[in-house]
Amino acid sequence: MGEVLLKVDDLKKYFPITEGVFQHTVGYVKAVDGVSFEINKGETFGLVGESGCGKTTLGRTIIRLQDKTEGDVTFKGMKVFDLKKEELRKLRPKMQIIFQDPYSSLNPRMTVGEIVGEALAEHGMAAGREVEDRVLKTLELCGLSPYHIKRYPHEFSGGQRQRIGIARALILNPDFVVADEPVSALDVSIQAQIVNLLMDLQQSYGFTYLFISHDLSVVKHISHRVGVMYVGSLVEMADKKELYANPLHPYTKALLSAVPIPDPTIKRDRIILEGDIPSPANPPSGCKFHTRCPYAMEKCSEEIPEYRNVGGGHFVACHLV
Amino acid sequence: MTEDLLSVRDLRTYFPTEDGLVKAVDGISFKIKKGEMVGIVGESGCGKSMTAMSILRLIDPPGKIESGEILFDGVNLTKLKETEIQKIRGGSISIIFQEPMTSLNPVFTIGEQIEEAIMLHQGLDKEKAREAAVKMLNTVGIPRADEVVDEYPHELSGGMRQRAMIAMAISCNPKLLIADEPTTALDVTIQAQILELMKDLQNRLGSSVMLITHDLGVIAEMASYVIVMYAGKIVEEAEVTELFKHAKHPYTMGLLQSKPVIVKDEDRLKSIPGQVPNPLHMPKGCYFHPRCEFATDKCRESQPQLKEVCEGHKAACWLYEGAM
Repeated sequence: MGEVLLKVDDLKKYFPITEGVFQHTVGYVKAVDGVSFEINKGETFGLVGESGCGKTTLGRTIIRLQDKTEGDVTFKGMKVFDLKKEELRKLRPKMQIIFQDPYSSLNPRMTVGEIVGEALAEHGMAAGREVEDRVLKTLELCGLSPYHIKRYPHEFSGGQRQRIGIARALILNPDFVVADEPVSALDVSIQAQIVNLLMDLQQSYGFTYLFISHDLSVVKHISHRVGVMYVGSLVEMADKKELYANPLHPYTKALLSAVPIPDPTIKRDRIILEGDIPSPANPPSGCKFHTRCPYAMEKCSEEIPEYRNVGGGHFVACHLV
Repeated sequence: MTEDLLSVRDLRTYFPTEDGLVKAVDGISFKIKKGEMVGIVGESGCGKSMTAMSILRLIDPPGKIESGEILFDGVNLTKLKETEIQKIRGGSISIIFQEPMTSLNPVFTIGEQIEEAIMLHQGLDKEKAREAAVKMLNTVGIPRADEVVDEYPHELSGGMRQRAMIAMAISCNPKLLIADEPTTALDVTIQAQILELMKDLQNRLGSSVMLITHDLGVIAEMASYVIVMYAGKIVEEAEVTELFKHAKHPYTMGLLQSKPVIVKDEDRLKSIPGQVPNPLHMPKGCYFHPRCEFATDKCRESQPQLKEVCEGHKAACWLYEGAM
């Protein structure tokens, strides 16, 4: 068991729903609704869930790109939400993010050199020639060429842009990187290149990742531990091998069985869930999954199941277990 | 031997641009038999959607079908007048698009959009068409069909919209259903619902389906015959089991190895180096050679033709020259 780098404790993020001229609050979208977990130094924590489950909001809130509603995040012993502006600024280079969309997350008016080098100069970590040297070195690490430094984002393909985004995050030598769906917008053959790059960089520099994705196969490949989110909450979390071999929550089971396998000779019993994901503005009572759960009992609609350790660091929130 | 429903011969769809000619579909030939589900797989820009649009004659100018034949039920679709193709479009050939939000009209109710096709192709009156629309919505598993029929697309979730889209597509009993990335925009549990529905409908209606996707998992599960496209050309085709077990073309092999599989443990993914070539500057010889680990001088010089490399399995690759 490694050293804990990041601890998330009962984190909540609600967005108000306003109405009328005076914008009074009529309700809340409970995007993240009480999530707790830890990430160890040098590990990749995979976070999976379907659209709207709050995984992106969770990632952004953890590195304080937006304020929390409740709860705590402790990073290297510091409570991230208690930090003053100056202290937070000092911490920023240590926590970086790679965004999903390589098209909208790069400023089209800046050259690659400016995009990747900006933060270095901004944080006073390098100046003048040294910035360029480090940009060149980082570009090379990320599989780009020195002549790319003078080019603009539109001159690159999606995969190359994602490499620029990775270079921008990693040049600061961060301890912790949130990778928010970094390969979802890319073609399969390019996805593999980026996944390999992220894994190689982790091996060489010991980065810690929070890898957010809806793709269960990619998450399985890259992560050490995996958490499954449903409508704002973690429903299950375990070691990768344990989670994929022995899923306990009915949602995890259904999710895993729904992934198409590129092998026509494998026939599986698929659990088809009925209905749609409930809205986080109006989540179901009790267990949020009870409306779609094939095993739901009366208790499930009344009582929120406790999220607890069932042994060996395997956490699950289900009345059946 | 079942009859061919669709037979595409040397189809070329080109787009003239300011910078040069883009050969979106570059001389492809394939067949779809009656009642068969054929999967077309490839990455973005490989021409798979343009193939579908060519069949329906929905290519926007200045793009056009440069040459080739599309024989559907014995009729050459490329030669039909616009009024004639309109009778086929949405009637005996229909299409399901990827994005159900942008492909449904936001200012008409779901019912009106389905009824339109039914009235047009089957000549039913408004009342009968509405009944038929409700029946269709029931068929695709939409709960409260008699209410949903009067709702607008924005009132439905992504999965429900895609079901409505399918209801519209099958409302006139098409002989050929083209599904262009029908589940790409959907979550995995919703994707499972839609794939199940499509399989079930195909069994019941006996339509032929042309399933276009980039997801090899979806192909493996749904299709019986698979066509792999790269840069506007077919590089490989075979029965589904044969293709996944004995992929011949280095591109297909690369694709299969670059995707992590949930039931397997890989140490490292094998990726295909480089990227898809710019359609304006296609490399000489085999279009795949700059990314191919087996490329030889021959591959850099001349283009391989698609031909049978073993029984019922075609590939366009010099590695298999003289294999059969």
